[in-house]
Amino acid sequence: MKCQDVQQALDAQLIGTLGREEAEALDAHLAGCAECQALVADARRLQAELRLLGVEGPSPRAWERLSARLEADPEFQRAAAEAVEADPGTRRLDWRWVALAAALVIVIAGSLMALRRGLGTAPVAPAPVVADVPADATPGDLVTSIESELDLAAKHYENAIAGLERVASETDSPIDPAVMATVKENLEIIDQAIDDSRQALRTDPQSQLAQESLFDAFRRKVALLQDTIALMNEMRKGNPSRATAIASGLNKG
Amino acid sequence: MNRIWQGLMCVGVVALWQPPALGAAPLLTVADAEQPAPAAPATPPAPPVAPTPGRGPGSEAWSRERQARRDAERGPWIDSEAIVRQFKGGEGVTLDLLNMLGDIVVVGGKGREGRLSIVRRVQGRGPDTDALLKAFEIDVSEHANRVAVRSSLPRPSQPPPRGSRPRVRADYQIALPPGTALELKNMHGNVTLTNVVGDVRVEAMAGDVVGEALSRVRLLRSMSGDVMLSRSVVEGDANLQSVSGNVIASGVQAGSLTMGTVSGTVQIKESGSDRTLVRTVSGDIEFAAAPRKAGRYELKTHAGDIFVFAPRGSGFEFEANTFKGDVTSDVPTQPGMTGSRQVRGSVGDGSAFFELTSFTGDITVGKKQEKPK
Repeated sequence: MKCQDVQQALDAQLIGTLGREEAEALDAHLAGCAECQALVADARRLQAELRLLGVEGPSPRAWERLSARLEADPEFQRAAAEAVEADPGTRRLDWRWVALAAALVIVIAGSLMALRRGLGTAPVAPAPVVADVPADATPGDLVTSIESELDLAAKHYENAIAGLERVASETDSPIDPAVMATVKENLEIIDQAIDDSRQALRTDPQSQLAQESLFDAFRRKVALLQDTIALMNEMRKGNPSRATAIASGLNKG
Repeated sequence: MNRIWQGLMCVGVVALWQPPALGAAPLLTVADAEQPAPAAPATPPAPPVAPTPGRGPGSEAWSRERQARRDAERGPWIDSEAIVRQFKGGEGVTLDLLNMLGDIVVVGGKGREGRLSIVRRVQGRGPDTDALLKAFEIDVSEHANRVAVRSSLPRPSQPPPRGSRPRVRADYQIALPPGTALELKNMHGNVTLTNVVGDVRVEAMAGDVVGEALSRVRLLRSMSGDVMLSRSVVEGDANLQSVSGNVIASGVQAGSLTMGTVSGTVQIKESGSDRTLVRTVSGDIEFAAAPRKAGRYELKTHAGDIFVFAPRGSGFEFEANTFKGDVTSDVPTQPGMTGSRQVRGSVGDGSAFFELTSFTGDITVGKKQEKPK
């Protein structure tokens, strides 16, 4: 196996379709190639980080569909190659951050959409679902789509936080006040971690540890928010009228 | 690699998709009610949250004190007769239970017949208490290979004043046939699982989640409570999560362990896994176990301390990183590549690898299973 084959083998391994002989060939190559080892380590780290979010990974069918579409798009391949050539030093960091950010976007928006769909409330801003990007989308469209989705996610995120805080502060909330207080206090702990990391980055902008810490704190906050919303969604089954109010709160910004 | 991150962008969509139920024969039968009922709760289910500083309005301490006062004002719990249901379980069948308030005890059973024993309880002093108890219903329905259990909370037309509002709860004892998957959500109350042979996914809002002798742990999670798994040999990954509670794995053997909490402590004791991934924000991480050969252990916290105590005779390498804390070790170490706050060390054959990161906390690595003084 050569370096250029590793990417494809790694893709197959990530989705569980790598055969035994291919796996052995991959292992043999990795044993003697430090660059590919780093590539694999990053990919596995990403998988683990996504798992912390409760995201299992794409189904083989979804993966194949998406891959086939991208492979069939020469413009995308050209743009991707140019991007790597333009800044090879940051290649690994870039794709990892973009992928994680995109996953977060989908998770946040998906949670909110699931909450509203379950309640049957009026439609709100559409969920940023990557699969909705037209089949003939150009690489530029994809990048624009991701950027707009990130912006949209930020708005969802702020709205959701504001809504949660409103629910927590309401005296008539069906949610146990102690639980809401716990959530709030833990969000503050995470905010403190975010502040610490930002402060560290001001003094040492190159610190990878500070970068990763900032990202970890951000991811944890999103996960906590997602879990809270998911449980609220379940609570509506026991108290629909109250859950409607929750959704209404989330919808206000 | 572009394919990887592009592909990952669709994971949220995939994660949200739920397969539709398939048609199948009825699974439920009504059993006679002469079955042992779940024991009455010794105390009202106060959410077991980790103590945090601050007693002002809105704080945990303030909320719990207020809750205790209200419980005292509401009066005693009144029980209904037990409801007992039997269902056919086994591989391919999922028990899907959503409960708002109450304790749940799940025990692995034998054969293909499962049993739900449910006791409804109302806490209150008002004249409507008895009527409320009668109106409080438990819906047990069947959808293909899914047994869904839901509690239906009645709402009075005229809400009583705050403080005199009665509370209702349902306590469950469940015998779960081998292979039956369990999807359980409990909003308030503790969940205990023992000898369950089947996929387990438990999410609690306020209450402890305790598992023992489980074989397939997809997720044990509590927002505001401890999560503990013990004496288990788990196929694949065991995922244990909390927000404010402690997360503990004791005597667990798993393919991989994923554990996390924001402000609680994570403890791994006498457990083994090929891969372990731990995250906290302010809580400490304690690892006191023998690492597996070629095992990989990634322990990361923002403000907590990390302690790794491997028994003598074990072999591992470690890399400890901290931005503001200190690294202490009783094994030979050398500075890492990125400065004095990165330390590398190796013990024995160095076959396992620990990646230890605490942004502001301290990191301690030792060969003895006790904290250094």
